[in-house]
Amino acid sequence: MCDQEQLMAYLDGEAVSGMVAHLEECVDCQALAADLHGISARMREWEIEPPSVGLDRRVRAALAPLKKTGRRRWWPWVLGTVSVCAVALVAVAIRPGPHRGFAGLADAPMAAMPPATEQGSSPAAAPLIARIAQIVLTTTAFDPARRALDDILAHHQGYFGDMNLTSPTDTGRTLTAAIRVPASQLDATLGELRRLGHVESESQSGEDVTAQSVDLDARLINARHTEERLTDLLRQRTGDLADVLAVEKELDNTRGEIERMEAEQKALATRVAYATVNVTLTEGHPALAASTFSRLRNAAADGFHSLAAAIVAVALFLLAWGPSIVVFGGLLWLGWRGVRRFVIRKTL
Amino acid sequence: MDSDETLIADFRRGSRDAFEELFARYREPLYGFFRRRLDSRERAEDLTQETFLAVIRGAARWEPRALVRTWLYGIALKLLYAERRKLKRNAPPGEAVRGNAAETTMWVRQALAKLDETEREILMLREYEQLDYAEIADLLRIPVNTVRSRLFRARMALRDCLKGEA
Repeated sequence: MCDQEQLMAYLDGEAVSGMVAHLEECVDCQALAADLHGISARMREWEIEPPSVGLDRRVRAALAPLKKTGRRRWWPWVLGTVSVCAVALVAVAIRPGPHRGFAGLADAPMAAMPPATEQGSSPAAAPLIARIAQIVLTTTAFDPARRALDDILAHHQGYFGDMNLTSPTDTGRTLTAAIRVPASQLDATLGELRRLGHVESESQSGEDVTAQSVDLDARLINARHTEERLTDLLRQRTGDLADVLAVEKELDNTRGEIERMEAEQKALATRVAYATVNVTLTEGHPALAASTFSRLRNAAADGFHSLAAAIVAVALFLLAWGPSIVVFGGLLWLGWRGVRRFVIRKTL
Repeated sequence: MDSDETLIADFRRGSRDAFEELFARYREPLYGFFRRRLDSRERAEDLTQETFLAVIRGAARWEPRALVRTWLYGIALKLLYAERRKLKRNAPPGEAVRGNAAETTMWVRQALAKLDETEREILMLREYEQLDYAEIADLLRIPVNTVRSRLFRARMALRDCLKGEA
């Protein structure tokens, strides 16, 4: 049985092995090949007239800003383009959501760009999560716990982001610290922190910063392209001094923006790479043994509270059910009385 | 002759001549792409222009691992789909092959109109744009084997039309 699809692929110039010899021998395949040639020939009869010269004119007009010559005409285009880029950068920078690109026409072609341009936006890429944990501990051995905290940080390659120690005269000491540990070490670190004392409360949360990161990458790429273009323009230096200065100013602004975004990018990477653990460590004292008098006083107070609660409960019950009990009880009593009289009469 | 990829790389470095060369190469093929798929000559020219404008704007984003030709037709396809969505919203229901083209052209157009939309697109990309199977698969985001089987089905359907006509 001939593989007709293979034959077609061979005729289309695709890499198919062993088809030449087969085609020489197989009559069916020769007929199919003739049909396929015939179809292609018929289809190519549909010819298209050339486009009008208007198309060339319009495309070349769009290309005009890239002209290297024409000293008097290049700068308005350059400044216009730079201004638009700067406005777009600022608009994107103050926008909280992920960057979606320019609306309208640009959306379609940009979406068709090679995938490498959409750095980090692949749906298959792992999400970037900044993890945060809170833990509140109480310990009677404050100093050893404080030293153990340092050891835990050293062991997990973490560091203190922020630390505050208070020692009031009337109560125990309190240490509040924001510690940063590698995200992969978070669970192990929490496990060791729990052993420092009694855990009063603990919580964990994660912030997905994937969109923020992708947005930042895209803005950075755009800004670098703008920088490249401006640098090229400066290199040519074909305009007046004022034009050159204007381009230099824009270049400075763009570089400042790039540096700011790079710093933001590093900060974001650190937030993802290092989890934050907010630790509160409070010094607690052992409870004093209660005296007999205190116990009696507490028991009396409890008894009084129980009595008051019972009275309130009875009052509530009577108010809630009293009217029903009176009505139905009265009816039952009357019924019972009638029955009793009837029975007595019969007996007599 | 410089390759398309060399030209786009030169254009990225600021060579206007490189773009002119690229424009000269793809001006008619891209216009033909739109013209065969749309009724309006004006819209075909507009969309060809928009494709080149997208190239001017997005040349910096092109990376050597993609063929320029595939990239160009990718842009053209996106624009075409957008145009079709717009036409579908505005046009009355029912699609018919219109125009006063020559009889042979009408036959081809009518036969193509009978095909499934994806099969028609694959066939046209192969016959008119001369894209290979891998390029078509890349553009339409379907496996190469699917391209081959659908292309075969489309051609067999056209062969039946041709025989019916005879």
